[in-house]
Amino acid sequence: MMGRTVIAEESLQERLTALAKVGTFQIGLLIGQNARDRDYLVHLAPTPIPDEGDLSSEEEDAVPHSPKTEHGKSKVPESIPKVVDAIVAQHTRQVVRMLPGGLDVIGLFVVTPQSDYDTSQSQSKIRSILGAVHRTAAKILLETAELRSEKIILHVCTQTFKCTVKTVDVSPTAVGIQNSAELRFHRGGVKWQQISYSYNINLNFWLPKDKSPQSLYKMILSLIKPWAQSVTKSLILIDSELQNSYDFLDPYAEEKQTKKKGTGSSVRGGMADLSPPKVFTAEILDSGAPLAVEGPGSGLEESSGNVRLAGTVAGLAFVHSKATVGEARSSVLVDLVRSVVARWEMHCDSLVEEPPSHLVGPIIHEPPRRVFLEGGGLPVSLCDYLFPGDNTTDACQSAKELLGLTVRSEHVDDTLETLADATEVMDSGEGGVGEGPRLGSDRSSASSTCPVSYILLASGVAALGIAFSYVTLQSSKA
Amino acid sequence: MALFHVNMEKRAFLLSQLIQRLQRQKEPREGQLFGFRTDDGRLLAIALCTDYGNLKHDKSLLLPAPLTPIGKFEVTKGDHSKPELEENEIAVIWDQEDLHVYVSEDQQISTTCFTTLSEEDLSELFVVARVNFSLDLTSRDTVVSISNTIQTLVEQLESPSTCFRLQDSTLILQNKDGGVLSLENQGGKGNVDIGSVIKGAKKKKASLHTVNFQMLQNRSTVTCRNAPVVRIDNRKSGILSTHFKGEAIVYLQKSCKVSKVAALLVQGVIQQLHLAECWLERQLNDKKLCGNLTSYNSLHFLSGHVVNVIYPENSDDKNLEPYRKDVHEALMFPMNQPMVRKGNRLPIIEAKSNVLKNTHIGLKPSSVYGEISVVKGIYGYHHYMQDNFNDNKWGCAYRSLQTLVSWFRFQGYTEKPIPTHSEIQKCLVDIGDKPSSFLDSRQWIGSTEVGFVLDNMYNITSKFIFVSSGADLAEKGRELAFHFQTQGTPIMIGGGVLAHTIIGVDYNTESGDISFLILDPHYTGSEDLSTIQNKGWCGWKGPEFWDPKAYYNLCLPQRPLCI
Repeated sequence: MMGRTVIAEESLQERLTALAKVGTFQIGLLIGQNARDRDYLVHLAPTPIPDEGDLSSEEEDAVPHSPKTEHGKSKVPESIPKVVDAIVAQHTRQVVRMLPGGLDVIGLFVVTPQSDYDTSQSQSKIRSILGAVHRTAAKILLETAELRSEKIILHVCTQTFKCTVKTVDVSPTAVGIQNSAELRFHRGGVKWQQISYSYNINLNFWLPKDKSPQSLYKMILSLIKPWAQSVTKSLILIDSELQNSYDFLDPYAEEKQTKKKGTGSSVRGGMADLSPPKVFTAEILDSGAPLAVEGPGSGLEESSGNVRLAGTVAGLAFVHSKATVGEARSSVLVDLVRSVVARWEMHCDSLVEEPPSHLVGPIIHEPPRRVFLEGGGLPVSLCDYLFPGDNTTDACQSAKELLGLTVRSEHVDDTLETLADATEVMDSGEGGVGEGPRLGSDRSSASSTCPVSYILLASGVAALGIAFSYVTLQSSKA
Repeated sequence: MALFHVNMEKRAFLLSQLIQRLQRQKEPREGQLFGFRTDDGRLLAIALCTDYGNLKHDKSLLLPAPLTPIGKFEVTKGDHSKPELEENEIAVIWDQEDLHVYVSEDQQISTTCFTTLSEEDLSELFVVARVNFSLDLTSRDTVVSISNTIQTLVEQLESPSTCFRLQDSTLILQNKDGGVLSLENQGGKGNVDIGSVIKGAKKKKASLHTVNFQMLQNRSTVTCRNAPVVRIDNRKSGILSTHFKGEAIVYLQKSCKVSKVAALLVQGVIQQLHLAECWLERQLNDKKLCGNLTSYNSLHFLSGHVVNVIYPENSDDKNLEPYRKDVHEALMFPMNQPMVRKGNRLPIIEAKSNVLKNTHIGLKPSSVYGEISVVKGIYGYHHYMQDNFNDNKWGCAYRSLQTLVSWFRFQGYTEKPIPTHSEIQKCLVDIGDKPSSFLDSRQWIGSTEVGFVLDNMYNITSKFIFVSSGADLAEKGRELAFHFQTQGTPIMIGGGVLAHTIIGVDYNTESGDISFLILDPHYTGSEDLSTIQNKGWCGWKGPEFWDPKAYYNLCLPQRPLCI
């Protein structure tokens, strides 16, 4: 009994059989949760063949410029060695954004004949893909949390219809030997516990005088990083209590378990227990201490600009039924960091070009807002981000394309985060226009003599429902 | 316990230090009395605030929350006529002969007697909360911008997102109705007394019980659901970059309901912010004052109450003297003792010093029944083997010197560290008192050397007393008592092969009996107060303690006159 146990949703058994029966090659991501002593498999997300231009420039370079179909589509691979690492990594990047806290890409599945799977070429390819998947999924966490580097490989043989599960450690220091693992389908469905929270983010940075120009993405990231580091030191209350991190999140979880063992009855079969997950509310508290940002020195200084990031993040995380408070807290933190970084990445990806540098004055960037998706046969919710101008059907489309899930648009909840409000970052004394008339003594004359206009720059890229917008507040010359 | 069972005639309570401060005044003055009105109608006067002075900020910001004005005081040259008072106010008049106290009730102003409040009485009524917080106060370099930044922070503090965690507990208070976010084993009931929640607060103590709180922001109190946006302003501007490492002091009545505490702590923090605002404005005009701000709240024995002060971390005491002078004036503190220097700062609880302080507190009195005069303020007990340094059998005078220096450090006279044995030796070699072979030796030093080091390293002069026999020390009662009353510093005494520290005398002028309060540096054990007191390492000793065959030299450090 070495090796790990992978607990899978019962419905996945049919799914795997179906994939085997279709018989065509397929690679995809395993979505689930790594717990201390076991892993939970929730969903299989087949990796789609991306349209050209969907890859980030970095990833694009990695794709060989060889065979492409006439529709601009990369060719569908038919064996493991033909899979392009970057495409799976790209898929990971997009899927991770759709996962609430607690859920991760925990491995790969491949549907292919045993003969393809067994070759040493295939084996090293799988390891390299898993490495790319791991690095991609870890990157968004900004080093605030450790992702489990032991990944799962689920092979579905198209000839024998057999499923085998192995694990391999992809960390650079690991030897990379595969360990066999056990796949167990949980009849009646795995119980999940849901943790909801909201987080009011409010960051204000002054840029040092001689800051060399950086891309928008890098600049904001260099500010978000210290925030993310400080967030890991937060106190997290669950249902307004500060429990020990080794307590069970659901104090009755252990009781139920022992009861079951006591009566000797096994997990009951038949109908899946469709009771909704138990819901907890988390509250995140921190000291509000200044962040360790590389900013201007202390005292009277020159600053080359000011950045404010403000608004409310709606958050969601899921943990398995026997999770501890500590596990719940970690999943909340991962969710928070991932959600803040994801929307900034998506916003920057959507910008056709950087805002023109000759524009002097405040610019408001409006990253996409978070929505939550239910259904699709999953026991947990997923999330997505909607750009201004997008609607809930765009989220359904992402679910279809990236996860192979059918979600009805009325099951997309877009009420937890509402359209960003520019006043959020305008009203503060510091975010304000500084010496401008807005803060002057004579407010009434300010409005008439200072023609402040909001200019909305938006341009939609139809294909994947990607749009971007930024509003500039440009003070025209008097 | 008398405090708790007052009849209504005893309404006026005056802090003993406040009485002494008033009685020392010669020139006519007036100002406000600050203190508390208790639920049962008592008026507790804790602090004085004069009506004049050069302070650029509201003087009441110097006083801990939630002290409020409860009346006024006057110093006159003989006149003690009935003052004008608002309802439920108190007036105290010092006419150079007596203290006259008036209270107003039901439109009537009547004279009344008063009760003196000792520190012990205060500790029976209050616990002192120390609230730690850290904030970024950076703003544009204009007064308007500073004021906006402070205002924004004040609004945030007043919101329900502000929380406080009691150190090492799961009690978290939140600034909202109910006031409690998380409370260990109490099921979220805010209706218990804070005194019963805090461990050890019920015990009777000679000094105020302090508890630490950490201020927190609850990021999950939802006021709106707007998704985050980013605003980037690429315009250059001048800014004043300042971080504030603050500490707010709040006096909490032990009977105060837990649910009411958060609002009081918020009040304390806001007060600190307004004090900080004043410093930010000064930083705009004086580069020397720039730098991060830190709270240096003090509790001097002459004050009896905490004084809130904030200083720029990098500014030295000399630079800050004009401000200290204004503070002393505003609170009628004497002008010849430092009371609000950085060095007067309340000891930081987290920094666990391995040296015990004021080890004589709790000792049984001596059997002399005379007038007891002891060291004023705080000293540290330095003795053999501390700091992992083996000076057994030779370092007693060095340790006594360390105790003397500790007093000057705790009382704010110096921020220089306690001298090590080798620093002491180096000083004596440098001034030519000892040859260079003295360095790293195990040679003893005497009271003259102690005086040299105090003078050269700390600018502290000393008086010396020489007696040719230990028996003669019994004759020095009056002199020593006078020293403790006027100087209040510990005394190093060397004689024969031994050095000790005298920290008090009990002198009966009628019988001539005398007892010495001795702090013995020859102790080699651990910092265990009960051992130290029970085995006599700190205790009262009769005249026979001194060897009649040895001669003794005493070094009596003199307080520099400064603030």
